[in-house]
Amino acid sequence: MMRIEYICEKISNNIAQELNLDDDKRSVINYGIFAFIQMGICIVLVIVFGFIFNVVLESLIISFTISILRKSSGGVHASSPGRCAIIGTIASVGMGLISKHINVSFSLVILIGSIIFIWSYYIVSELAPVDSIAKPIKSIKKRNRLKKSSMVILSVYLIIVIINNLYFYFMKNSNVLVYSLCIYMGLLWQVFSLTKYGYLVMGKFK
Amino acid sequence: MKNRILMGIATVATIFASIVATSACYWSSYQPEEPKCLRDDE
Repeated sequence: MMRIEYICEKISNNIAQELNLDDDKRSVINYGIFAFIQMGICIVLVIVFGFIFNVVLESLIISFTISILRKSSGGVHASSPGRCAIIGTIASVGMGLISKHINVSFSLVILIGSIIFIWSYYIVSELAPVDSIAKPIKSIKKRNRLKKSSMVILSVYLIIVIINNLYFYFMKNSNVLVYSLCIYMGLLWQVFSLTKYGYLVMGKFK
Repeated sequence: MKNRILMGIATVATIFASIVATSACYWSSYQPEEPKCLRDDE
């Protein structure tokens, strides 16, 4: 099987050669192409498997909840793009299935949500951003900016969940409760990946 | 024409790389080595 890195390397080498670019520019182009392709593959896999298991929307909500927060908060990483795509797909579709088929009352959704959000705010304020060896964050200014944006994203999720739950309370549309559960699960997964226990558990699949 | 297309791809890729560089990590849970010229060593 052709590795994504190899394909990206070939494309960026070709572009750099044709346009007479130096090695720095070639490595930036390679990094950008890889980011684009990896993101595309992850989203397509979630859509395909979500479609197979009839949880496309739920899986996409979970996947986007994880990834949007992840861009600011960081977290544990897989050792290869293939494993990352597999873990991400299984997690998003699996949690999508649970969210869709679990039967929970409105009061329990409120209770679970309150616990998850309080815990998330605490962990994000204490630990985010969690960097990696491949992309260390040394600048204090950048760390503060990323922590602040993580808190803002968390607050946006909270507002969406509150609107969802209010909509259910007045309109009795059970679909919106499922969407709230999807946001809870995505949040739980991403915030857990910031903790040392997240590193220990995810390390087993790395 | 070919150069224009390649220049377009290079521009989009560079913009994408810059966006990723300002965040904590990639979209997904794999993080490749970030190019040295994009790192902030403050």
